[in-house]
Amino acid sequence: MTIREGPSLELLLHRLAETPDWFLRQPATDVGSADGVDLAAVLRDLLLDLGCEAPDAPALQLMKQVGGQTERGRIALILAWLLHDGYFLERRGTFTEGALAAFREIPGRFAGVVRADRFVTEPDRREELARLSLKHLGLRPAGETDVQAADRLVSLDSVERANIVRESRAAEKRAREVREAMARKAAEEAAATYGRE
Amino acid sequence: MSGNEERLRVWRACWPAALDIWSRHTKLREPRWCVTTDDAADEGLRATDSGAMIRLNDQTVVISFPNLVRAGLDRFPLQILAHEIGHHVYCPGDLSDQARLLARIRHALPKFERHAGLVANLYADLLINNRLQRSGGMDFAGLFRALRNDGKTDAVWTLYMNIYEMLWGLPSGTLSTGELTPRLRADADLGARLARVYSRDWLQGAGRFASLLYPHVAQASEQNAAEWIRNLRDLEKACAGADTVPEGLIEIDAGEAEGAIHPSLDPELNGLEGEGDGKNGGESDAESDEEGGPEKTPANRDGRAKGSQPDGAGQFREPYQYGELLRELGIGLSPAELAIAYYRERARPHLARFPRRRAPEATEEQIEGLDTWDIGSPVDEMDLFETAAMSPVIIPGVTTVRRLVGIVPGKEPETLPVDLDLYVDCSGSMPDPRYTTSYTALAGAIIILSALRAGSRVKATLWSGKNQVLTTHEFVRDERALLGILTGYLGGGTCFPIHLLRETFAGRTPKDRPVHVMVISDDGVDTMFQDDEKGVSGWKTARTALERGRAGGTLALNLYGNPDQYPWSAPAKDIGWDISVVRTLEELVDFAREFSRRQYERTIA
Repeated sequence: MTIREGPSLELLLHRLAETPDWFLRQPATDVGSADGVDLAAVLRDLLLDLGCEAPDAPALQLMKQVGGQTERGRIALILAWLLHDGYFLERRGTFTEGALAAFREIPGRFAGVVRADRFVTEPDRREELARLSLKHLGLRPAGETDVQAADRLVSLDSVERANIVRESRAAEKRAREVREAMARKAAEEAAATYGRE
Repeated sequence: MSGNEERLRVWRACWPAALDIWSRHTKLREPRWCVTTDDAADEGLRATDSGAMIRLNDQTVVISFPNLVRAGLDRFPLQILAHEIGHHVYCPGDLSDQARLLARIRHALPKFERHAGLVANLYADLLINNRLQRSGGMDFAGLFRALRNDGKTDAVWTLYMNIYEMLWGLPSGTLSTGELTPRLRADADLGARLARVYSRDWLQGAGRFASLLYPHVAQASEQNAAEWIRNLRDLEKACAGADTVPEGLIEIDAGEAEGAIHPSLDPELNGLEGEGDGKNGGESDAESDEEGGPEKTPANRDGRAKGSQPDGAGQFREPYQYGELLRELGIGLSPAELAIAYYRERARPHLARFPRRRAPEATEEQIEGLDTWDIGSPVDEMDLFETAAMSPVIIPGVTTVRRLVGIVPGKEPETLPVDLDLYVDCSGSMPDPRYTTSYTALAGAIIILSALRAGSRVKATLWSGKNQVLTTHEFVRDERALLGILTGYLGGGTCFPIHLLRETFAGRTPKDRPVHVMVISDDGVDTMFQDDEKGVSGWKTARTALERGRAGGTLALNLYGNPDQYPWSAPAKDIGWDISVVRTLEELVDFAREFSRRQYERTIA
């Protein structure tokens, strides 16, 4: 897949930081339900604005895949806000497939790892979501090389980091116990040495 | 203009700008500019040391141009000067906070405490550089790129540089040179989060930072470490030459032990949703420091986490731990001096005024006339006014006069301090005060310092086996000498120095100041009532001491049983000894405090 230069990263980061409260609400349980934001309608409107000629079916399919009142649904809402940026809308028809791929991949990827609102409040998570979205659209941030963009995404990879952190937590707990035991032993040895002196 | 002169001109011109970056109100004297290696050596920087350093004890920045040129850092005057100022105004700020920082980091590096200074330096640098790069708009990345060509690296340096790359959004390899494993990247991400989350409450983050580096420090070779750290150790001699010991170091800061956790175990940092303690985790914009100033919050001044319980509060370091911390700071006190500083500080909260006794009235001077002042008399006795009134021509010894002064009783009663003759048991049953906390030494310190505060003189005697005695011999007001005796250690058998008690009171007359006699011991106090080397009964000596001391005597004893079960107990009370029993040595501290208070209140009433 050829990666082209996309919008400036700052543009997307700014957009995410200013996500309206409405997009941070809980999605409705199901299509047509009045207990939250109608995610299917949001997806349909987005796909339509991006140039999809028949958005109803893919929007419903995505809605089913993402689920209703879930953290994945909230991430999908924020992603919809991000992709509704003028840069993408102005290039009508260019990013429909990429957007569908992003919705299929991104909400599920972060489920259980990153809470949705952190893609708005945390600088690193904003950047990660923006970069990951661009990647699915076949773009890289303006002014960056492919290598730089890929490297930065690796550095920001919260899923990979969470896996390592989970693994290391157990090891660290054990290591801490060992260190504490070592410290106690060292203190005892120091006491004995001092006593002899 | 030579290269050195030009360099000096440029760096000097940058100094005000560097100060302004932190605050227009920052006050710090101009650095010591060292143009030659000899200049630098005079300021304590060797040729292999860092090119810049700050001394916290006299708030002085030292710049060594030869060292900076060697490291290729002489092109970064603003960054380096602003960085050194950051150590002064932000982290660590002063000797006390540097000590607290080291204490936390030492706790997180068991067996590798020798690297605590280095890790503390890296941590402080990280916080300062990040603030200057993000908020001050300074190019520290360029400075690190200049260092990157050193070639030598290890996991610690790779991790440390990758943390900066994460913080500043730089591509991997911009600053780091080693292999970035997934584990290193994850650790770097945690380090970057830590630098953001704990930028204000930086003391709280210190143990976490050290825990993050711990496995990498443990694996790093000494040789490589020496290569890359030499240009960065600007805090290495921050406290060298300090002639005062920062106060508050005997107490273990709240969170000192609890803060030594790996960031992966900290819900504020690990970012794992729904795990840990249920907190949301992560650093938000509101938590980041990008617009914040360097002011310290009360929380970080006290070393206490926001909203957390003071989990370490009220606990004290052992004397040997206190000594290790001061050595790490670079404060080179002898073990004896360390012990004095330790017990002096621990005693201070318990001090009270020592007993004073009402004497007849104090006296006042009254002028009774004039007498001739001759040349052999002290000059200050000459009354210049009366001399001038006597004759316009002043002839020493002829026209010069002095006042004759008589003494009349005053209206205010004079308070007469009671001296103290203190005997502290230091036999093998007592701990060595230089290593572990000795409550006998602490109680003694409380009483001695209280006595000195009230104007009393003290004779301190440390006793153990026969002829194993340390004593001041005389009643003195020399705090250092007294605490030096008190914090010594004998650790032999148990034999009260009856001869010293006997000699102390042998020539004492009613004109001498009253003396309170105190013995701190355990059941070994019975040796006090045995016959001495001359065959004189210890009972006689003990009775004489009280009679001639005229201010009573106290036996403060750590006894496990009922004091009345000891055969010496009743006779001792009969001749006037007050017996105070504690069940544990720790209770001696309460006794010492109460003793002073009781005596004082009794006098005032």
